[in-house]
Amino acid sequence: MKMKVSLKKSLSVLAASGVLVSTVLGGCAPKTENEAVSEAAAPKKEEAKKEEAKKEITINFPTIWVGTDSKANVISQLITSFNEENKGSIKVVVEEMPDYQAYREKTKTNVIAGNAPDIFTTDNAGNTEIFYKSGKLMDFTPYLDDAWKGTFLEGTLDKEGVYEGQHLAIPYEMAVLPVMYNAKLLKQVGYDEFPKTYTEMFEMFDKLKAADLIPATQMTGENAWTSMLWYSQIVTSIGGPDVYSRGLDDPAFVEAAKVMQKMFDYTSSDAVGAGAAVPAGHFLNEKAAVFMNGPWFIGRFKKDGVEGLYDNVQIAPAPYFEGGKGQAGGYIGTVQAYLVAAKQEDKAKEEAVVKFIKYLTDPAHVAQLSKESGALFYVKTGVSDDTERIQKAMIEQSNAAPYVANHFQAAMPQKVVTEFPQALSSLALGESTPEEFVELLKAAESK
Amino acid sequence: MAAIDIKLPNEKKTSVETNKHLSVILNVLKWIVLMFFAIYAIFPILWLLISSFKTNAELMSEPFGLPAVWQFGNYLNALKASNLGILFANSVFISIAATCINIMLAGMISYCIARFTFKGKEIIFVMFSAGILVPLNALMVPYFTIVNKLGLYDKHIGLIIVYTAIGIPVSTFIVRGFMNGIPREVEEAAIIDGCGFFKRFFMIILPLSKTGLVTAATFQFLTCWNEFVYSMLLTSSTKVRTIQLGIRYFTNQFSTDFVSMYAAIIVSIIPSVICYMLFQEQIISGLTSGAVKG
Repeated sequence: MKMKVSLKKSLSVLAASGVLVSTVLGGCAPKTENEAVSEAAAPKKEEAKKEEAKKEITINFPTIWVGTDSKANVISQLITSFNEENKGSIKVVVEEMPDYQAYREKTKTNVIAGNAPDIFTTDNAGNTEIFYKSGKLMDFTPYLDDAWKGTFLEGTLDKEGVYEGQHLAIPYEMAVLPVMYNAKLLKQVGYDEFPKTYTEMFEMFDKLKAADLIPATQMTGENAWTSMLWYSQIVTSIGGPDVYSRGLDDPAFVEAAKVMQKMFDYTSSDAVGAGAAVPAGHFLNEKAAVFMNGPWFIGRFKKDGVEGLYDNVQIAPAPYFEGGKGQAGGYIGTVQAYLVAAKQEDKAKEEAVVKFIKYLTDPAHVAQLSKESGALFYVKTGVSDDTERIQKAMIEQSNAAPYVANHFQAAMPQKVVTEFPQALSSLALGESTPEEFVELLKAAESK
Repeated sequence: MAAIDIKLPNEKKTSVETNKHLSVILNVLKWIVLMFFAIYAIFPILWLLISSFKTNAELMSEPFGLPAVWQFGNYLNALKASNLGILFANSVFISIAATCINIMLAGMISYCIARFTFKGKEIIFVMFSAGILVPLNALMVPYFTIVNKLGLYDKHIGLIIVYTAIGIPVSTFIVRGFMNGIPREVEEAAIIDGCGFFKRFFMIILPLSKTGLVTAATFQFLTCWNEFVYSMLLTSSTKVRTIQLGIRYFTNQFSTDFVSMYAAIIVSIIPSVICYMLFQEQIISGLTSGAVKG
């Protein structure tokens, strides 16, 4: 009896598996003769439709600008209108990839496997070099005429996205990274504006700490983003904007580590190991007075901050280090997003890809994107009266800056960037001296 | 009946009382330890559940407080914004299909390895088992290339095949252990009764390995359900993607909608919990049966 039950069970499992497999496989099985005959007899109208569909060029565009991203709405509108304008000839198909780390991983795998997406974006850290060297990217040089070039900020296209004389990437989104501070909290301790030097800033931090406030946010989890930005500001202020070209042996890296270690005396107790949400949370809840991030964060002051926070937020260039090689007002920044495209065999498709990229970089469209998201771009859009207040200040300050230097993550090799959060944790916990911190980075570099 | 008053000598009385006290103390200690681990295990899920009803601002300002107003809308947002319903259905379909195929294959492989003697048997088993040690991320490029070349990119079957394959080492390892434990005499008796190869496999060995098969199937199902990397790599549209991608829908480059993400996570763990509740007897007996073997 038991045997019969077992047999029945086994058979039903087998049958279910069989049905499942055949159903799934059926979807990709070749067409039968009958199906082929019935297709051949289909009306001419259908054939014509198919022919038309064949002519339509499909562009695959995996993007992070979807979901809850601040650029998602405008990008979606732009793609819809582009597809409508080019109906029957070009169709941009979006692949939604909101998770940035997953996006980076996937595009890298695609390129390595020889199947680069038609259009995608990359930042200025690590992957870009792999993409350039892969030989799988489209060269935009023949398409960069004066008209198109003229829409970008002066000199940008000459130095960004160029590899061995080829324009393999179009610089698109810009990251400038000022100090963001809560003017209300600074006023509480007697400051009307942000201090100009690090000495003055630490004096202010003492007062903020005494007032039971978190002077500045830090983090060492994930990629240690906000702390990496602080370290970048300090290292360029001490060693000058060209400090990275001299490598980690430059004493500026150790000196900056000493300042960085001190910064951790003026931060929240949960900074070591914290991810990006922690420093953001402290600033958005008016528990911390100083924060460092880019223009994309502007929207969050209104959306996620406590009531009235947005009105209290001001920005300033980071302080300068007395006796350092940097200058007052110096900024850090980098290319946040390059537009890149896969090398195409089909000339018509190549032109379609360029057409879409030109559409995305059209100044009117970029202005719309910038206004909606708060992000800054390498395309000239100008500052108008309706430009958002903080964004306007960023544009003005970065334009007036004596230099806009790369940040650490963009300037250093990927191995060093990967090691940075662990080394910083060790420095913050006092397990490593500033000298040992730099040694850890050097060891990672030489691996 | 009159009660008999047994008088214990004083020394013995003290020793019984001491034992009583010791037993109470040990009992209390036992409960403290048990409660500690229970809270340790339950607290994160409870925190996640409560957090999924907060606003993002509340979560950041008071991560351990209760929500002022319970935000049931987070669940609606999670379901609507990321098409969680479709992704959920895809996950169910892909996980069940990959588990069924995986267990069938693992059963067949294990049967041959466990019940037959042939040259290279151990090498074959080591080859299968070695797969457990290979990090999945290392196989991203080859899997992507194979799936793409076969034209299975962004198709359910592509993911099903990959999930079936990546689970084979663990499933074979588990099922083979159970099949090894079935007495040879049972199979020999079946042979005498005229059972052929397939009959023995389907009617004798498979039913007797039920516990092992269910254990392996549970692991395989959970692997498929929680898998993210290949789902992200081998699909591009909502019609094929799985729920793990839906959870990540709320994380973007610079910010995360934590509360909607937590709501999506709560939705996503429901099948795992149901799966465990349904098969908990088999899973526990499967996990512990090896522990008492000599």
